[in-house]
Amino acid sequence: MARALNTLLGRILLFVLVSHAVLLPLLYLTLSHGTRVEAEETYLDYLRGYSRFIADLIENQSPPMPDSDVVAVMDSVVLGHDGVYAELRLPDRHLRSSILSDADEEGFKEDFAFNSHDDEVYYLSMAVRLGESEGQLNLGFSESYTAGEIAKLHRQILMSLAIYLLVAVLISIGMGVTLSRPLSGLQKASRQVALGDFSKTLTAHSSIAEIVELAHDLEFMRHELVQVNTKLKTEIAERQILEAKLRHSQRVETIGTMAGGIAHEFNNILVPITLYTNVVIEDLPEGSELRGYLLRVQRAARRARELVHKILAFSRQLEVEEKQPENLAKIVREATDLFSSLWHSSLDIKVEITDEPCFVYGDGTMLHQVVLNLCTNALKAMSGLEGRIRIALTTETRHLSTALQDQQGLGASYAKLTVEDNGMGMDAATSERIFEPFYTTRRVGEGTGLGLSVVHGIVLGHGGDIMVSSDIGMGSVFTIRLPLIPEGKPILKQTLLPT
Amino acid sequence: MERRIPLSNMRINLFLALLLAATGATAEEPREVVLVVANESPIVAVSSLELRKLYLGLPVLLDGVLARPLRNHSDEQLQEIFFQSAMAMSEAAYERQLLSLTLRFGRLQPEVRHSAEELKAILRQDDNAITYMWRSDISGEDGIRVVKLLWLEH
Repeated sequence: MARALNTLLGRILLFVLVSHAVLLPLLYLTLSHGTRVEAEETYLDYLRGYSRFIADLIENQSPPMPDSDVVAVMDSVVLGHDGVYAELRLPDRHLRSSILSDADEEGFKEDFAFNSHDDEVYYLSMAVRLGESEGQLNLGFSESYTAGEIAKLHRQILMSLAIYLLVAVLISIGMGVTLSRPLSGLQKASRQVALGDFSKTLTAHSSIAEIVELAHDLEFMRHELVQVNTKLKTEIAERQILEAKLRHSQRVETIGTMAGGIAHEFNNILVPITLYTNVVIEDLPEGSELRGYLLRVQRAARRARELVHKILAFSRQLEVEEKQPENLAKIVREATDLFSSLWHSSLDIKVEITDEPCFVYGDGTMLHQVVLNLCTNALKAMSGLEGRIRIALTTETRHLSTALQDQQGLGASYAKLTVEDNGMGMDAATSERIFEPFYTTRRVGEGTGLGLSVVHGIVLGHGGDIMVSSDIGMGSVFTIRLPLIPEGKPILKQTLLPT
Repeated sequence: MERRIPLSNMRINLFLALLLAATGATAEEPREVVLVVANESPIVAVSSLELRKLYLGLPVLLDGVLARPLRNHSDEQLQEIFFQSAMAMSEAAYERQLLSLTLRFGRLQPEVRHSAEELKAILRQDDNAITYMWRSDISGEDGIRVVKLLWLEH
């Protein structure tokens, strides 16, 4: 009950009922009193005027009206509408209507107000002069009919007020439903929005301006909420990616620093080994057994130098001597041509290179190695499987404001190299570690675990970035982005990055 | 031999007779409302029609003089009786009719007085003045006489 009363419909209904419970009795009392007084006064004035007319009729005759005529006039009064009593009292005689019985005389009690003696007869007397005698004409009229009419009028008022109350209640119910229905719709929709269903639009099917405006405002708020929510989700996702990247970069950086240091030291150690091995080899005769051993030492030292070179490349401590504007499209085309010798006939390898100028500032040899390493990695991922490798080079341009938000400092235009395979793919933990040096999922002897580390080091050394997305059984996609420069001219980073 | 009644006994008997008459009259006589004028007034008789015309503000010549009607508001019941028995209408209807005639014909409305004593004083001063009051209010009054019986209590 209390719940029903706390609804909009309940409150409107309660207000209407309470206000009418107070006002309707007052209205009824006022109306009934007014109509009763008016009806009674009208009737009594009619009786007084009629009685005076009868009195004048008797009085104003010349010669004076004989008693028999007076009795006839009084008979006429009693026989007429509402007439119940008529007599003329003179000092010397008493004339009465011949229709009346003696018992009727006892009931005469003069009235000055309607129904004042509860006898349902209105008695009144008029002064009359008949000839030389002054007397009183006493007449009585029934009040029943008028009282009945007044009661009927009161019933009609009561009925009208009941109908009015019913109509008021029905109107209030209609008004309550009209108001509450669109609000209920809004409430349900907003509840769904609160539960996360942002697709639900907040609309109100109503012609009431306030409700329509409320719905518009709520819909505007929902729209804003959806936008803010989407933006927030995107920012959270971006932040998570950035945090993951940061963690990954820090780990790779640490490993790279350590590996670079070791590689330097190792390189220093290799220098005398290589130098003195060469000296001794030159002094030894051709074909000697000892020379053969030293040649093996020389080859091993060379492989060790290559290894050191790769580690230094990963750790970006390799001195780049030939950094200059390079046509990346040309490098990718040459690398993929070279790579074609490794193509397996059962693999579908697709190369898509943009026709747009694609110049980057860097070392052509190293970039060449990047492409080869990625392609080799993709090919090894496809090993033993029939599949597809797609190598694509495109250029992309983005808005300057977006470029400024990019912490990599790629600039507004960059080259995008994608190497995509549908090989065995990797899980997230593997993806996380693939750029670490010496990390490999292959069997011992099938790889050093430095290929992707070298790619990572070279790309970062060229001011670019590298991303990988992979799912087990779905293949992997390596994406490299390198800042573009106008043909033949390097772009200064300071022009793009915020100070 | 002539028998003489002592003067003191006569006085006592007269007093007792008057007392008896007075108490008997008060207890038994029905109340009356009467139309009254001054003793010196030339007005002798007033018909019911003339009375109504007079109190509705119309000029009425009564026995050769222009009568001056006065309304007696000293008693509420007297008012009720006067309006019903003499004017044959309610007080509200009378006021409406009076106002209507005043506005239509520019008649003067009857003067209103709220005290029987004041009315009697006016009657004594103005021979043309005429008013209504309880008969008991003029019993023993000199200079005022009844010209018409308006109402008799049952």
